[in-house]
Amino acid sequence: MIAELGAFALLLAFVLSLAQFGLSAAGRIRRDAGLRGAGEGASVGAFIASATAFFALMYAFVTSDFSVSNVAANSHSDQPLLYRVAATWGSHEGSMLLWCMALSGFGMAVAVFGKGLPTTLKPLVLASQGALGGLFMAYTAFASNPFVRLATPPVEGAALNPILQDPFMAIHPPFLYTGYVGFSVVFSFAVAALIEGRVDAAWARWVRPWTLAAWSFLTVGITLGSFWAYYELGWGGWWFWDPVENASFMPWLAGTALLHSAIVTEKRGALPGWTVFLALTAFTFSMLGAFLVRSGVLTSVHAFAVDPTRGVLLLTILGIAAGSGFALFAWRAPSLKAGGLFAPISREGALVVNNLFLAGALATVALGTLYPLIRQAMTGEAISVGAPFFALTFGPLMALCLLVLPFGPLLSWKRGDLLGAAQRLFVAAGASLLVGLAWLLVVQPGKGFSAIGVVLGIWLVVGSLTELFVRARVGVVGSGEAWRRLTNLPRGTWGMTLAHIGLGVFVLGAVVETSGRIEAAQALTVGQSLQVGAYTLTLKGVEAVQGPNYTADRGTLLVTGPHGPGGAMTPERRFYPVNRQATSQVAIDAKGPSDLYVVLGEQRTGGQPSWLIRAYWNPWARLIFGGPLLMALGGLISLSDRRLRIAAGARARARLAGEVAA
Amino acid sequence: MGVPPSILFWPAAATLAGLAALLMLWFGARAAKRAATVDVDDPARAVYRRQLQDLDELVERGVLPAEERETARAEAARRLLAEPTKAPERSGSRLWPLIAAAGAALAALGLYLWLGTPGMADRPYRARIAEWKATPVNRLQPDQMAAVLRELVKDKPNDPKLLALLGRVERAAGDPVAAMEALRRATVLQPDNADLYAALGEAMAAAAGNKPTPDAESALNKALVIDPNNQAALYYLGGARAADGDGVGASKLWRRLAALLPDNDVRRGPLLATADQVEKGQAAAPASAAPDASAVSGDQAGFIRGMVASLKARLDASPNDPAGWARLVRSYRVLGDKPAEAAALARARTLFKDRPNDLGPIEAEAK
Repeated sequence: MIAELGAFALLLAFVLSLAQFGLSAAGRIRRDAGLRGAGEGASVGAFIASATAFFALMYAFVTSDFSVSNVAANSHSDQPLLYRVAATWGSHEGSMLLWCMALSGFGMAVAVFGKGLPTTLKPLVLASQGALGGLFMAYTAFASNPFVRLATPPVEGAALNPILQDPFMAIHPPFLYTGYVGFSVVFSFAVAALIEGRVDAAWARWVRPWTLAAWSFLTVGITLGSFWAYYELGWGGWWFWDPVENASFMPWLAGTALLHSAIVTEKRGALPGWTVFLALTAFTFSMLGAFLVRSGVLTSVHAFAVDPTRGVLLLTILGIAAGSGFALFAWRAPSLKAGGLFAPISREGALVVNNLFLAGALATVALGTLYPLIRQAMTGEAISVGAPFFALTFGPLMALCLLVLPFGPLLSWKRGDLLGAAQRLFVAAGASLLVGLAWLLVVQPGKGFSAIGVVLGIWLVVGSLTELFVRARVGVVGSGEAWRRLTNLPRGTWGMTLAHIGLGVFVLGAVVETSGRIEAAQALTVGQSLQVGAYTLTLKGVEAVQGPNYTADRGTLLVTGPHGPGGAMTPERRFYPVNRQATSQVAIDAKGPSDLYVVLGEQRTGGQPSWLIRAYWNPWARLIFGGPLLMALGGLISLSDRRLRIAAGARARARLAGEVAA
Repeated sequence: MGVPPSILFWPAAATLAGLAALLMLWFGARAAKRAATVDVDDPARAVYRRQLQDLDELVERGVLPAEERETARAEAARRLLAEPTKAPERSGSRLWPLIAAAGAALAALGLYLWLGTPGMADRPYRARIAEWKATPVNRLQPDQMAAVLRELVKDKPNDPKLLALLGRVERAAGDPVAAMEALRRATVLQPDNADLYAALGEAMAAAAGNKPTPDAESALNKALVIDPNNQAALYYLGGARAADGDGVGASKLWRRLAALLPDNDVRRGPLLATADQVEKGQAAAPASAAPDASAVSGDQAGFIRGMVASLKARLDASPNDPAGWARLVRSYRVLGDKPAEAAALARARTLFKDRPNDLGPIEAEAK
């Protein structure tokens, strides 16, 4: 009954999305509040229905109902509860349902929380969101339905891929999809603004919280995915410029650019066309990401065309949605009113430079990701574009972007004082160059690129703090007054500073880990040792352990560091009999910000039993993941600022009213 | 016992559709009422007013330079003045939302009747296990029996008999890896049981694609250490020797096995003939006189044969089941019943001659 209720709810959600589109559009055209309101009601209904469908599917997974073919193909009764839950979005069909739920969820959020939106703009946003929902729900219901039933269910399911049976992989997709789909609201706002012909400061203000929320979720999603790759794949790396990773990185870059250009539009009313263009671009890249990952095109360019229900349909949806958005842009953008003017050296100018670099970086990543696919489709020749391409193209662009970054917040709007900003950044420049020089001469002699990276990282962190201190006039006023100013700074400022510091922290981690990683691999018999960096690992033994749905060899290695014995590490090599697949469970021992990382390999046969042990010393690896989390936290703090300021405004008004009454 | 859950589907679906319809009507009525009563100000003005307030507040907090405040103030004030003050909207009809709400529910119902499976109940795993537990064993298929046994093993993880039975049933159900795991656990609990080691060795070789592996040979040797006359171990170890190219060694083991079989055993002749062949280096394939079933004690062999017979009956009744045919071919091979295996294979070839994708796995089982 629950599975069938899910099937019905999915179809109801599809119909309600269409109703949301139709009623909202009609409400706007006829200026009819009743129709507009009914469209809002439909959006709430669509969310409730799609959430019902989603949780019905989850129930089928939890109870291992193999009469639901999607459950039979992606779950097993022996899977632990967490992974039966996570298998809900582990398959193509389930993840599309999650996507649909997020789409309708954002639509509902606009309907419920967008009370302050104009009655002209809001129905258009909801109509666009309804149209997107209708497209994706049609795809899910008619071409990728997760509720297809089997009259003769198999005794057991085929089980979720073991490398996905991991806590981080379980929570990574919901964050990622919330981020991806969050940009759909921004897209819908852009479409609505283009139809209305009005992109101004107020519009940018309404778009900002949605952009911030989507961007923060996407940042967390990408970070979780990267951390998963870091410890689950057992290769020691954390970013491989793999098309699946790039698929999530491209909307992030577009969203980051949007976040910055929208500030210019909000504060000065300038760059309306560009901001709207980025708003359309961010969700287009989200859809492109879904297409790349979900169509099978990455496995083989030719495979996706064979199954028309997947690739071709997703590509069609992408074409319809993005095509309509950009066609509207081409038609309406020339009529958008340009906002305030500004000198090249100004806060706006710095944000434009930031956008140029980010757009360039986005184009580079898109080229590196899509070119091999296009080439393979045209000529049949498979080529792979890897890290060297991105290091030579993306790297320099971003390095320049980071170099300019600390200037931006120190420049005034309209016309800035570059010399003044440079003087204020004197300490940051001195500190970073000094550390860079020490790095080049002492820490990693001769490694110029890593020294440049360290300089940039320190420059970002100290430069961001400088802006905070300048605003609080630290050193100019007394310490008590400076503290008062610091605590009085708006949360938006704190959020921005935290995000920029997070970026610096990430750069430091990425550079130090990449240039300073030490790797050692050796077949060890019990009692033998392996040296990696300053640590000695001694194999104490390997025992067989039984997991809930796997058997494993668990190695125990005693760690001896510069300060003597330091505990044991227990990497595992797991075997999942249902999938007949082995995975590595890496053991990671955090030493401050750095990681000692050990992988247990296969047992070597012949002679005394030995096991291949691979060990890595990953200096400052934690910063790679901590930095982006700081960035996301910055985004959320900025998001909270808006609400607080509304409340503060209301309190101020009440106080004023009280004074007047008195 | 109450209402079957599938009957609750229609009330639940109606509630969901009704809730959605009510939401549309309620939101519609609310918006219409507001449009009629509230004097709607352009919300953009609220944004610009708030921007002005923000500026004042930042100055009050002492974190905004005065010159920046003045220019920003002037700009926000200009925007405030430039905006239209009102955006008129009529309250509109209530009929259309009603039509839309009813239409949406009906459309969803129509689509569901077209695409869904009305009336089909959930089939949660626990309930199915309970059904199979209540079904007579001879009417269960091997994989269903294995599922029941797996549940029993969860309650009694240290029962070697249960694990041994599970191992053999998993093997009959065509999952040598699961069979291997169960038999391995059984041998740990009962290390002096030669039959278990012989079955484990066979499962290990099967899990490796019917190739002898060092682990498999070590298990078979262990069986022979415990019981030098263990027939299954002699047979499979002979096969392993033959596959390794040691014809003499294979022949020796098979002759030992033939000597243990009664004179009137039909398998003796073919076994000795194969032993002769491998000794001369002619054939490495084991004879059809496979004593697999002899490795299975009376009750269990009967049990497995019963399951295979029920599978055969099911396939005769509804033959369009390639996986079932693959399992049947495999089961006959495990039981050593060559003629039945050949007959099943021939039938499957006729059935699926136009469906190479379905026939492939069945042919693979026969190799």
